[in-house]
Amino acid sequence: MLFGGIDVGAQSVKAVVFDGKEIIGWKLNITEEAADTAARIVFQELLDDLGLKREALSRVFSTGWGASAVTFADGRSSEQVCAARGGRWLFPGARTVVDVGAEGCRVMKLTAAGAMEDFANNSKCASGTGSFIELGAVYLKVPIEEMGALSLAADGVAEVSSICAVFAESVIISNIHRGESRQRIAAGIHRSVAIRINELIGRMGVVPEIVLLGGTALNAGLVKILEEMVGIPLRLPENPRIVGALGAAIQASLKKKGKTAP
Amino acid sequence: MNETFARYAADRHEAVKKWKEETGKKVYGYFCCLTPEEIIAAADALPVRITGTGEPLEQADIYIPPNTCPFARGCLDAGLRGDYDYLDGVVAPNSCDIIAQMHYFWKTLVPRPDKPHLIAGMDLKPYVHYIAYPEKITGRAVVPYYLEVLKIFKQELERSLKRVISDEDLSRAIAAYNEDKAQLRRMYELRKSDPPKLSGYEAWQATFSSLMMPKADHAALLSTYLDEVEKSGNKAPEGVRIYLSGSAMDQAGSDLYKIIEQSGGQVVSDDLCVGTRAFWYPLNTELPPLEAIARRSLGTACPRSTVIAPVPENRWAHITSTIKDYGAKGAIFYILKCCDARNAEFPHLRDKIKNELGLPVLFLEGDYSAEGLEQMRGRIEAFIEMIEG
Amino acid sequence: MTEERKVQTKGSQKSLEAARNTYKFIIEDYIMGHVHKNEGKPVVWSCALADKELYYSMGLYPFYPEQFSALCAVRRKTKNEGDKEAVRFARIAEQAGYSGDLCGYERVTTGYVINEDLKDAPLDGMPKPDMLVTTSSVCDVRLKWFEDMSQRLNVPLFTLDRPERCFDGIMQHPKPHEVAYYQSQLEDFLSFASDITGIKYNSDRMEECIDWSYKTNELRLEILQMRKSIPSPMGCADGFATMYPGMYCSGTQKAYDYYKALRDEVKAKVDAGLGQVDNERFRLLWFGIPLWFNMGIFNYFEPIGGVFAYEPAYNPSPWPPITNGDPLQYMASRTLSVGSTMSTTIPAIVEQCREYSISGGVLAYLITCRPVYLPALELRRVLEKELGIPSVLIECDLVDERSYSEGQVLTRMDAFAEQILKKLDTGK
Repeated sequence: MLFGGIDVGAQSVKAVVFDGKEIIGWKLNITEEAADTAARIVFQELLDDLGLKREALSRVFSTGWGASAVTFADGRSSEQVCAARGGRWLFPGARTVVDVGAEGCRVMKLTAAGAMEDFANNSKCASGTGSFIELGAVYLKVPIEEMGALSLAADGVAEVSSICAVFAESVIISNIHRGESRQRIAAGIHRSVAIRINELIGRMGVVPEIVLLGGTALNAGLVKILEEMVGIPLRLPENPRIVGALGAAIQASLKKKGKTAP
Repeated sequence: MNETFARYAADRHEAVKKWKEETGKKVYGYFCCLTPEEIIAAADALPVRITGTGEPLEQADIYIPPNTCPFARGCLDAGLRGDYDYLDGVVAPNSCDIIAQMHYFWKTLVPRPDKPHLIAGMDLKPYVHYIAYPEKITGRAVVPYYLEVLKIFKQELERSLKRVISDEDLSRAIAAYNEDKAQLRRMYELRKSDPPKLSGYEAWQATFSSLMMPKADHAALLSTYLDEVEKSGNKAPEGVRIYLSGSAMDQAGSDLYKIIEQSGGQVVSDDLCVGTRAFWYPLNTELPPLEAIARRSLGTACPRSTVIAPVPENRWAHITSTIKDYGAKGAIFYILKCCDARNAEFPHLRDKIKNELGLPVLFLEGDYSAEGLEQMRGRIEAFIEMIEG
Repeated sequence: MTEERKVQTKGSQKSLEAARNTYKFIIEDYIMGHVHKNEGKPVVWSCALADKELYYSMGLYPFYPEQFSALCAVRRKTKNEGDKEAVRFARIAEQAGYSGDLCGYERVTTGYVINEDLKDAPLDGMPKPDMLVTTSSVCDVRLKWFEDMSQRLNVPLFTLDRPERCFDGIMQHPKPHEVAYYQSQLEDFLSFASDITGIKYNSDRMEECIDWSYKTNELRLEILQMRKSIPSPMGCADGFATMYPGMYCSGTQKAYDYYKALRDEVKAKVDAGLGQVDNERFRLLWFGIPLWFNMGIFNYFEPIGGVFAYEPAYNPSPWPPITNGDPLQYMASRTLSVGSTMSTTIPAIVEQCREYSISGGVLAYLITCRPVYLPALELRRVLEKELGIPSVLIECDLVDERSYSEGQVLTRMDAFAEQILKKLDTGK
């Protein structure tokens, strides 16, 4: 049996087809379309790639910020539960799942049996999320994908002391005026984000194995600093941005009913 | 759904103004469930709870800093806008650091609807009253002290309203309050069943409207309403049984009940000042009436209070019974930003609820706005999904 | 870990010798407290505003979590390396679920207590107490904070319930029922302490302590009068540095001796016409608790002749003369003479600005300290309206320097200075 998962995020939409044992295929689109349209498009494109028809899938679940807008889903499941499911499926020893996306950072705590037993979100602001790094990329005038490498090339860490992303521009500009190198500023930005993530992990408790999801898991600079702070290596999925959609597909395979879109 | 309750919940100002017109009586606004409102009612005036609007502030930001409790700022804003022009007086007790200063803010900044009754500089009618409520609500000397405080308050009211408040007046008010409490308790009993006979939102409407109506009237309406509910076999939508706790949950926060319901939950009991704490403590009719009122007011287990023993057993007892007796499966705490008393007790309380009562706990930091509530929907859904398994 | 630049904060330059040497007084207090504990004598952790004679008359050695948190704000575990201790402890509390909006003092001490090793702190920390005492004065966070600590440490707690007095004006004789209630608190505390320590209350000893504290208070009031002089002989850096004995050791001879020396030093300066600086051009008032980790801010305007001349925080009020009756009744009526709500704070600051020839107010907008930030906008409005005095709000936490934004603070201070100088130059 085949199951589908769609993750409608703030910046991208992801689709996964899952057969109960393996990921059959996945797709990620950066999109500005409305949620339902974007979901339809990515889902159809994935089906086309795989040569499948919609009827071939028994159930499709949605998750993410725009989950309730996906009209063709059979059910939906919360981001926390999906991240936990997906992370645990990829790493059967996972006890802590850390999902750092563009808009939010959340940490899920799992029981030894793999069920989610608690979760925490960052407080309503951009610090400790991918947005802060994106802002940094804008002000340092580098593509976002190069931020990690830039910070790894630093010979030190600039003081990016502000907790608040609203001050990000002024903090970064003042660092530039002070003659700080862009590498060190990038390192400072990563350090600032890592501190917030680490604090959130600490609130749930550092219980290995710890899995890192979301686009930021591709940022080698952030991963390095975060690992140093947490004190143990983090488990990194090969495709960290689709784990939520995977989780939704797993939920579809487990659940006979989910919440339907209102 | 009861029409009167719904009308009060939808626009409490309209409803109260209409009552004032029809009866020609006085209305006093007050902060907090520990206020000895029975004394106001004894003077044949209507005590109404002051709440904010939950909308973006129009004026309060000029006077009260942005870090301040958003509920208090919302209340002051409503006052500054003139939403409370129909009040004949305002009562600000020393409940917490912020509400205690509402005395200064309201007196200084909110225009008094009727000009001060000055005669050669003399004013018999203060607009804002302060009640020096103690911080420690137990101890050998607290009742004698608080009785003196209440006597002063009673005198101020008598001068304002130009009438004496007799013991008979007080006893009559006490009887009406007790009757309303009995009906509210009866309503809560109906929430113990599975599923509860009325939804969290419906129950909220009933408790909230009781804060704006004469108690005898409210008790009569509620009694009829509950008769109907029992007869009709009414049932709340199914959902994971949720216990709701937190800072002020007036009409600005009532959407939370609906969001919880839409997320697959159902609020069955609470520890809220517009919920159980508003009516839980009956008045002892065997005591002299002013003392009965003093003890009821002191008996309110609000986290702002402290007691002799360092572990506030009175709070823990209240919390335990409202969780266990109602079969709650999860606890949601909606605590307003910068609400120190609740934030300070939360970590311990959360651990106790998890460890001793075996309930998962969700913490939501509130900002007293509708958008803020919406942003929590995802977390609430995740929490309920987690409990369902 | 790679090397990083630290936040640019620093201690203050004090103009008085007594101020510069107070740190020795504090260190000795901590050392003697640990000695006291090691000798098996009782220790109390108290909030800052209790009546200290209660402790000194009963042989209890007091430590003060608020003062301890301020100490943590300036110390690091290893010199020049890592975070300040206050940040380390605040993080521990936040990890345990305490909101970052809670009082900085509370987060620091709660984190310290959660950390369990009470010696893992500056000056070997505070010895494990035999009892905790708090009061409702000034803020209600103290009540819950001490309740929480009492449960964590498993140590008995006493709350001195001090009636919150709300009236228009600054001082007013308390009403009999208020005095009676607070007196009952003092009496109940003394039985509580006796039960725990076995030490009996001795009213002669209490009267002795009150005698010392009264005389000490008189000295402090004398100093406050002298601070009105122009040029300002003693500034806020000095004031905050020298408030320790009066706040925490009131009722002892050592506090009295300290202020005698301070009074003499200030008097000498006044007699010689000497000020904090040579070039005094304008005088400022600092409202609220300082940023303990950045006391250097008090010197900021000195290059342009700006001095901080007065701070209301921690300064004494006049006490009625000691009566022949029950010392506890005297203490209750003395303590309740000053109002405790904004109806007092607002008119008080107007008077203070007049008396100390203040040209501008720096209002500490301490983001986690509710009694200090709540009146901020009203203070600013009233100062402008009643006296035409400008004020500036400095936004930060009182002990947690993570919230300190140097750029923001200094920009505001500079703009404020410009405003004041313009007024001085143009007379508008």
